[in-house]
Amino acid sequence: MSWVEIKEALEKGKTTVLVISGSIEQHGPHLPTGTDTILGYEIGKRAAQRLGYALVAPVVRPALSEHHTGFPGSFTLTWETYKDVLEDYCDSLARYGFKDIVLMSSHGGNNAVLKAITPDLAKKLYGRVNVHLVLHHERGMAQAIAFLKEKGISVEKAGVHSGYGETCEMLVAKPHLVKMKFAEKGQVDEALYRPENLPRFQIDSFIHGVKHFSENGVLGDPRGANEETGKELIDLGVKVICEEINRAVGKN
Amino acid sequence: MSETVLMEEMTWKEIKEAIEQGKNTAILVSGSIEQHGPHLPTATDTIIGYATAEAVAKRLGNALVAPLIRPALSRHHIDFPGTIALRLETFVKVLEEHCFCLRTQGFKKIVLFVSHGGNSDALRAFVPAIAKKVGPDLQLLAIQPVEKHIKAFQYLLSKKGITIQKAGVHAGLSETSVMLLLRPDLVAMDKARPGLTEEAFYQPENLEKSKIASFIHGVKSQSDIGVLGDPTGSDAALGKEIFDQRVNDLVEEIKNNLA
Repeated sequence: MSWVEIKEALEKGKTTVLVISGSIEQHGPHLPTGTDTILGYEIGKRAAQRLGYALVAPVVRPALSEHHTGFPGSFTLTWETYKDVLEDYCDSLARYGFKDIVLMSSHGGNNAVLKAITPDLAKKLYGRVNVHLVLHHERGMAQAIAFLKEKGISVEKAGVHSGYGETCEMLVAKPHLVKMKFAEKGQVDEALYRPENLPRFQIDSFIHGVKHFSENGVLGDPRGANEETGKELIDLGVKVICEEINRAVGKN
Repeated sequence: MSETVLMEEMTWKEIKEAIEQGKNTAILVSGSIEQHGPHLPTATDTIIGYATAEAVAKRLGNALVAPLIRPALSRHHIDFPGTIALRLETFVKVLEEHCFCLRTQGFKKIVLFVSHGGNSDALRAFVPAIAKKVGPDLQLLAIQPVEKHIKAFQYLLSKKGITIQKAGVHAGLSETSVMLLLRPDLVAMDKARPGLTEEAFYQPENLEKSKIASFIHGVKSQSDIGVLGDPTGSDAALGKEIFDQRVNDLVEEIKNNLA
């Protein structure tokens, strides 16, 4: 969009802006390093269209991917720099008449830090713009897992990184960047993916690096991924995100 | 082996293989997210930066294109909605952390240049310190505008009867023509209007002063539509000449400076 289009959109009531943090990091032998960024744009665009009152800012990337730096192509910021970048985004966007900034994430590795720093950002911006955090992952992931289970896809196949679920979504968003012939199984130990074990698994992957758990960088099993399931997963995710954004900005 | 040189479109294995096969130079461009008049998108510098880097990397044959740094230094455009500006300190840290990541990945050389003039002085000022921090395993080369290439560009314009104030320095005829070449779907020529076209502003001996005035007072004080130049009459064929010349200049500079 041009600045004039953005100004006109604001004047017509599009006063919410979605600031989505993605990543530049390895996504196995079959997906590009820009995967989280691509999916962030895809889901952000669809959510904004559905909401009718929001615009999508340029996806924040690179972000927090230290745990993937064992693989070439991964970029990470330190969390301090990441916070500075977000603060600069918010300070810029606060000038234009946006009422609400909704911070979101298309990369799980950003979530904990986003949770930790949002109160400080919201306080700094208080009086200029409302800063909200919408992490749809918890509810969204539970729904996606239930949906895939009905189709006979186990949690360990669905995966949390470059597995069946994410690969299906990429087949919708950027099919020409998905190389299904290189799709191979990664870490598929069922115990790791149980809801009660996932937080521990995530912390261990932060400490030891993803390479420690999967030589090819895949957490899940992308084989058999397909576009139809991807469409359903994206629709499901967008629905949850929109509900949560509505709630956050008080439009439910 | 992947055809693309854009790291964001490659898998980690393709990047690893490419580096092992000698593509151990990374091109790291700083672009912007900032207003570009009523007719160009805020991502203009980012789009041109990627396309330039891609063409340069392919010509060099031993290089890959790192994720382009954006947003960057656009404080002087902050009066226009859609502009996102980093503070100088944030930008330098982001730049430095990209370089560290490229070192970890196994690159031996990083070529840095800008697709947004506002980043240029920061690159000149801070790349030496970053180079010192990343150490001897990685060679950093920041490409700055070279006198003879500026002259060649001016000659290209004058040959076609295009004045410097029409070519412009921001969203004018040159940049708009390049965008018509690269992403015509994002150019609204029906909205293109002349901005600041006062010749004195663009004279080579005044450009530094004009730039500082932009930084102090904001581009809005110089053009209320955010255009420094005149985009009317832009065309893709001219855009191709400008783009190709820029790519040639960069390739020449890189080859002259990299051992």
